[in-house]
Amino acid sequence: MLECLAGVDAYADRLAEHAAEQARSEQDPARMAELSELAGICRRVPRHPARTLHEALSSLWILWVALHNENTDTGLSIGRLDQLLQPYFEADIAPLESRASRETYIAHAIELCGAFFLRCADHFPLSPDIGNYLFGGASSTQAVTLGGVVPETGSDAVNDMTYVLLKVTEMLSIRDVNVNARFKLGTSSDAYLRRLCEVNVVTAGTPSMHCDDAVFAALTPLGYGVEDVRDWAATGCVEPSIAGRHMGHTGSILMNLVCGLEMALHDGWHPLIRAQVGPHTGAVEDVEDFDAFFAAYARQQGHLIAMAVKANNQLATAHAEHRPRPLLSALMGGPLHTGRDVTRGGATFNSSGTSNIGLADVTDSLLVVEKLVFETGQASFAELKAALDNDFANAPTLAALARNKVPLFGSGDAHAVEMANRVARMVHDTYARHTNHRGGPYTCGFWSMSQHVAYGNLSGALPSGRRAWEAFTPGLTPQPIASPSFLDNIRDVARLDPRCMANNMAFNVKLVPGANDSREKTVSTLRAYVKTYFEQGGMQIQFNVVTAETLRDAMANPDSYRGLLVRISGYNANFVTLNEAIQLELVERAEFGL
Amino acid sequence: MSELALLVDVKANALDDGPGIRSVVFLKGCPLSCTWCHNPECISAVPQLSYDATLCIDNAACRLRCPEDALRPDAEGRVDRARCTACFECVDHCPSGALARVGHPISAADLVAELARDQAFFENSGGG
Repeated sequence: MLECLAGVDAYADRLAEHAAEQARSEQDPARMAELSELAGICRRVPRHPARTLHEALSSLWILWVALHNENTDTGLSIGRLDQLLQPYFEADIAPLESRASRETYIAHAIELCGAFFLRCADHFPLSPDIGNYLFGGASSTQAVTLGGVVPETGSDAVNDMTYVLLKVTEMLSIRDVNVNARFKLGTSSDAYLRRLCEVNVVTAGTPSMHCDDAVFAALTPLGYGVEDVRDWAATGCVEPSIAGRHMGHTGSILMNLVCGLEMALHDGWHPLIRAQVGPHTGAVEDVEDFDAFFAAYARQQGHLIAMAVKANNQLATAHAEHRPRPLLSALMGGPLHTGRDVTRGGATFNSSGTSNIGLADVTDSLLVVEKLVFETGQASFAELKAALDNDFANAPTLAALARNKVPLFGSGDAHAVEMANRVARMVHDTYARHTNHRGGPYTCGFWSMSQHVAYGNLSGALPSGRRAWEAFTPGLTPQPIASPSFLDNIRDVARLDPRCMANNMAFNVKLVPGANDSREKTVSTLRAYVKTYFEQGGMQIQFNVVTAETLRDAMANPDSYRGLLVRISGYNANFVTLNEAIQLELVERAEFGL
Repeated sequence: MSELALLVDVKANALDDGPGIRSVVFLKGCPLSCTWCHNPECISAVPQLSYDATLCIDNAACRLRCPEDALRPDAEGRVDRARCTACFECVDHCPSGALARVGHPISAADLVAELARDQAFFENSGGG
């Protein structure tokens, strides 16, 4: 640990020497002054505490480079950046008395933070082709969290730096850092929410927005204290961790929920792998009622989860043995007291977060089975299974019934929401039976990065009417056909039980402003959606404010759309750099007019 | 007994018919017959059968169920209107939604209850 910290100091010293050397040979006096200042800053931080915003950002950046030398270039996250930086902003601005000098300083603060964001965007994980296929276009995905509440008091934490960083987000429209904004009902201001919506409209897709009330409800059952829960920050995409003292490993398992369903339909046999992967739960012809089929699904999925947990714990044991993280341990709360590395459970809080992909597809499929096989009897289970095995080729009537005559998740139907919660509860309870290698719990999330495309490509036709090999819906977003009204989607997703979703969710919505709508009108409508969604219990929501037509044009003319930002499922990407399957999935997402 | 109106559709999340988020109620029975009408299915004051060829999967269920033998692939719009008595037996058995009933009787109280689902959106947006 000491060696690592000495290494960081040596690196900072080298930066200082280099800046001083450049200053000496610089002809332009303004640039020379800048370089000399940089040399001074690098001599001070991170060895000593920062005193100014510039020093604080430089300290962060030097440590960030060092951390990326030690840790994987994926999902390492900065925490509550506005809360970290606000004291330095206040210290800088306090002596400035005139309005003009303060405004000049604020512009300077925006420039410094902009430089920091651009630095964060300068590295991109090297992925093999399969990695790019699974995580299409995903950058390092360094989450920054804004807003929320003060841990000690619960009062509004939105401050000057929240707005400075939102301005930077708006001006740059870059895919990384991944900005997440927290909103607390009854505490955060309406002006703040309006501003979040405005930045979303301007950038077309960031920041993603979270409601503290639902996140608190999700985290509290894990036993964290009130002040800890109030101090949550997103890791990677959207996953809540307790800022600075929580080893969350929030992408530990990326589970395909459809896989267990296919196995339940085939007595534990997986049709693509063509092997008996799971336990024998019986042929569908013999299933007596819907609950028996749900139990078979739970058993198959539970088997997959148990295998994934076992593999993940083995991997983590090897990781702790061969790749300890002394620098990360030095910078995180816990190891200095416990004397253990973060990979060995040294952090104050330990959990492993999972992502479970295909919740809407599984829910809709179960609803169709329940209704058509066990309620109306419009199809026998054997007929339905035969239709699936043939990708509905000889069963257009069954496909039509599934798509038109069964109220789906997102349609506003109370039973469909119950079914989604039943599946989420089953998945949550299954993980809850396991412990990670650091002695912490496995938590459950429903976001998908881009695995809804990749896993969809490995999954056959579903009772929901989804054809073989097509993408699932992103995150837990309802199917486009569930309802013509976006309000039904909002209400249904808001009614999902946050206690089953401690690793968060991704509710993706594509919104299209009318050609003649003013920005003010668009922002006001967006604000009304988000406010109502949060009031009704919603946890997270993210937008793509772009038309399918624009996306199609961007596919044909990528050079004209280099900066086009889109939100996949939890992270941002430049649309033109995505693989074609993911581009098409974005084009086909449900689109709601504004 | 309260009077019933014939409901065609509730278009929720309407943003172009006044301020805020609104729900637009479409009822049947209009004394006008403007050439530019966007919703001609609302003109007649009685329930009607509609057919959408783009949804039809040519499943024979409707023909087999029709007591009047009014559904004919060769008829324009598939429905032989001279025979159809608007019993809507076919609609119940159409899997694709191509055949639909336009106009469902609804009381004012029931309609208000349906609209009230979106009350929070109205209030947060200044709509209605």
